[in-house]
Amino acid sequence: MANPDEKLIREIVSIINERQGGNVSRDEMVTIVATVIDQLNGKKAPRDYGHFTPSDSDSQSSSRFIVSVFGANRPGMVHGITAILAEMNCDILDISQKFVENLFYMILVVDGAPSPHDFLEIKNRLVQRGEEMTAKVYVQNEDVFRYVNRL
Amino acid sequence: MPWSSEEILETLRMTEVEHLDIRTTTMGISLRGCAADSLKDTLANTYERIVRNAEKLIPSATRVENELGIRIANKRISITPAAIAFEKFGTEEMIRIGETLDAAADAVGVDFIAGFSALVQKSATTGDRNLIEAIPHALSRTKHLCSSVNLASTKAGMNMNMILRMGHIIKKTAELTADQHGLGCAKLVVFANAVDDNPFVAGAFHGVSEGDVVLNVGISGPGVVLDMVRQHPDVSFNELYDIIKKTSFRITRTGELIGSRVASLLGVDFGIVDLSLAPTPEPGDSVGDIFIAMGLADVGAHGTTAALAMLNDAVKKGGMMAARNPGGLSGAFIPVSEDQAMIRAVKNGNLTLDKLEAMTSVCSVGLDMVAVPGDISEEILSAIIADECAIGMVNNKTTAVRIIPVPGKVVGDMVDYGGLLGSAPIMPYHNLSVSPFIRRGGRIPPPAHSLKN
Repeated sequence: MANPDEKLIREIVSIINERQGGNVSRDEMVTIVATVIDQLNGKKAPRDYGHFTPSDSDSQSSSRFIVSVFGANRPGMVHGITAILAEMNCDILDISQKFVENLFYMILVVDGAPSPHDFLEIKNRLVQRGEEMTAKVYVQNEDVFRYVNRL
Repeated sequence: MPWSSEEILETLRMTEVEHLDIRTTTMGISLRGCAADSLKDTLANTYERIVRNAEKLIPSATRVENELGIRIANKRISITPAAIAFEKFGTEEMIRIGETLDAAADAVGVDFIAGFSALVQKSATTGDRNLIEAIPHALSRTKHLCSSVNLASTKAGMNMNMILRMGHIIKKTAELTADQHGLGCAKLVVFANAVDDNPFVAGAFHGVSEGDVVLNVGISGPGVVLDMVRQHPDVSFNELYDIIKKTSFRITRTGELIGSRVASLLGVDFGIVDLSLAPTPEPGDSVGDIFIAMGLADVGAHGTTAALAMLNDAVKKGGMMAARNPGGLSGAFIPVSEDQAMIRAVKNGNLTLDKLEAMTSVCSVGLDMVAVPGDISEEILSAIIADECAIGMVNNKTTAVRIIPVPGKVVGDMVDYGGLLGSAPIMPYHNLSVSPFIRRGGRIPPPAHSLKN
């Protein structure tokens, strides 16, 4: 997962490019950046930037969640989980996958904000898919990890 | 900073392998103003106040459990000490109030409602006496109701009249619930220095200086601490202390997160996080096993008190930074029937009431979930309470007694209460006369160091 500032910059640049087709003067850029920042601030509260959450928003949930998958390795494990996330319109921000002997484990950091489905629906689908693949799937809001590991 | 897989796996180990759960989210509800001229109106007001405030407690807690993947073992309610809220009523009416509280708990689906209580550390009012006399009947006729009586404090001393009376009340409660092995006594605690914001049942109540509604959280997690201690069999006490502190910090952070989320969903104030290690009868979720992992052959061995003192303090220090408002009892609990290692130690003859009493001078509570033969005298029960109150009063700490004189049972028998209350071995006590002492009556004045100003 990229540094949140970098993520923000990328987001802004991609929006500008989309709108202007790549040909932007310096002045236009300044105006557009200001507008985009305003829009982003309006659209997304700062809490969307995970661990940069200010302490006074502790009562608000992050829209990110962490999916951990454990099971005996077999073909199609990554697809099994990511297909559901794609189908439910969730944004995968980070993915890491390892083997310990024949044990497969995968950790995904997912943003559920774009999805029309609520957290519980997504969680239930993922857990159910895990069972079909004889893997154990845990889906937890990112805040648990933030609270337990970081100040 | 991106998540490392170590951070994620470490957290999953706590929640999935080591039984980390939040022991309780307890909603404190003030019942001040519910008392009306008639009993009928009083009951209606009380029922309405509780149900209106607590109807969303379980749905909100369940939602947070699901989102965070951390179990909240219990959802409970505490109320203004009933003797204060319903001072004007007689004993029969107090029993009816107890039944109404039980019905309200049933309606919102919580397992316990606590605060059928009186604070009589200095002296008792008529309402206090009426409530105390109602306790055995109220507890025998209800399922969810819990009761507590504060009998002593460092500031007020020890109310020996009421300590004597509570010996009788405990015995009577056991007799009225004899068909369930004296289960009523598992829902009755007597205290010295009871705290206003304790979220743990049976001793919870919503203190008189609290606001209208508050949500308090009691953490748990002996399994997590046990695992960390087992992983470090050879380190020095300094290192072990530090390891326990760090573990407690992590456990408490989950309590802080859960409390703030549930309170926010309910739209009520988030009160305190109680940093207590509370065992359950589940294997691995034991405080006693932590002493064994520290290197003692069994709970009750010489050294157990030192081990508990260290554990208790490390848990507090680790948790203090993790919670905005630490409070409640905060320490380690040693309820015998709820802890596999303690049950085993009593059965082996290694853990006695005397050793437990010593342990209570350094932990957060007292003689907890201790079963004794049903034919113990009321005076001896009172004397056991007096000893615990003295420890609390002089050491400026909370102590408690939750003792069950199990009708028809003798030393060596076992009784099974099921669920969180576990199973209790019947313990021996010193069967020596205390009658002339305990019947003197009056008050033991507070210690010199109560005059702090």
